[in-house]
Amino acid sequence: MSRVQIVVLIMSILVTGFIIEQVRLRRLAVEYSLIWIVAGFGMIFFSLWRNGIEYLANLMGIYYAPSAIFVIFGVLVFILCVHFSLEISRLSSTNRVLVQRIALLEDDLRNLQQSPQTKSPQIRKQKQAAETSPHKDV
Amino acid sequence: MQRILAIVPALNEARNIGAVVDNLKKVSSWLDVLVIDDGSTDQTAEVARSHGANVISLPVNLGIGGAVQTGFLYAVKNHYDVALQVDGDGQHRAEEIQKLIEPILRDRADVTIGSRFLSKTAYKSSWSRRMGIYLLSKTIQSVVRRKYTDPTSGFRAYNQKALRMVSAHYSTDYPEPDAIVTLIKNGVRVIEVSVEMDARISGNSSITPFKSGYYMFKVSLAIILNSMMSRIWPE
Repeated sequence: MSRVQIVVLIMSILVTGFIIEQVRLRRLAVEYSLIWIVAGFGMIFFSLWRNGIEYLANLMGIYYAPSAIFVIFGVLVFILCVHFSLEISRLSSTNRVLVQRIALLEDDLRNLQQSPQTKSPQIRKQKQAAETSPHKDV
Repeated sequence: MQRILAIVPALNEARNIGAVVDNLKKVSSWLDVLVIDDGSTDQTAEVARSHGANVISLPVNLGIGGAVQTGFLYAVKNHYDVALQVDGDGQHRAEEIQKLIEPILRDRADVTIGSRFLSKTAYKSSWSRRMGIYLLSKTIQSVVRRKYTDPTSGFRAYNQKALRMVSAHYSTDYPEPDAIVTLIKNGVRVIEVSVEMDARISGNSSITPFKSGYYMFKVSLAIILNSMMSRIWPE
């Protein structure tokens, strides 16, 4: 085993171990950890199988094996970025819906509190407090 | 008298949900029915309400896990003794609820899972689905050292102890198999009960064949990771 293999192996094991530890502590959700775990095991695999990269490069028609690493790395990072963009889009759209829903609910609540039929003493008290409050916009 | 809640997660099930709610109400009048409308774009919520169910409509689609967990939170907040999950597509028979909740009422289990495969039932499914369920069952068996024949079954009942746990931690995508592992690792008694199930009334299951390979990989890994996770409440 060459020195570079040992260095890469140690690094891959550290990265994979870190990811699994974060999942174990419930800090990283399982669905977001999968791609990192797969990448980590891929790194471990290729650090052990030295000719693997050359084999892959040959398969892809790349003559200089190290550039295959860059191609694979680039594709992986590209996929990850697209995945995160999709995820961010989903998050921002659900976030928008939630903000709108809360604002509409607050409006409903305010209308309920202001309606003269309001019988509940608690709501009336809240209403009085809101009227006497100097912060009108609160 | 024990208070029992049926949680029915539903996404665009307007065609089935009325019959599901009617069946639940007909078979067991002592049951409170809560439909969780997971951001449906059809008339699911209106139909369920018109059939007499209590409906919570989620403003955005959370997925089955998030929807069911909303029901768990509701059950905890309203101090229900038992909550059971019944799918909104008509697969689960209301007549089988008694079998599901009996071990919990007698305090022989904290969670019961309705299984199609525990003993021979009339349920039929495709060869590939059986294979997938068998593999998941083996994966779970390898981490918890107990056999669960139908780990993807969503026909389940929970007592208060289990409800407090699943209302705090429940995974989002396809939560059924790894919930078994998390519950057992946290000292909850999970048993299977043999039940009959029907094929869906109409529409398709949420798991398409195209996604099933990826699903199997993801869920198997989630089961293994869940078995290593820290306890929810360390003693």
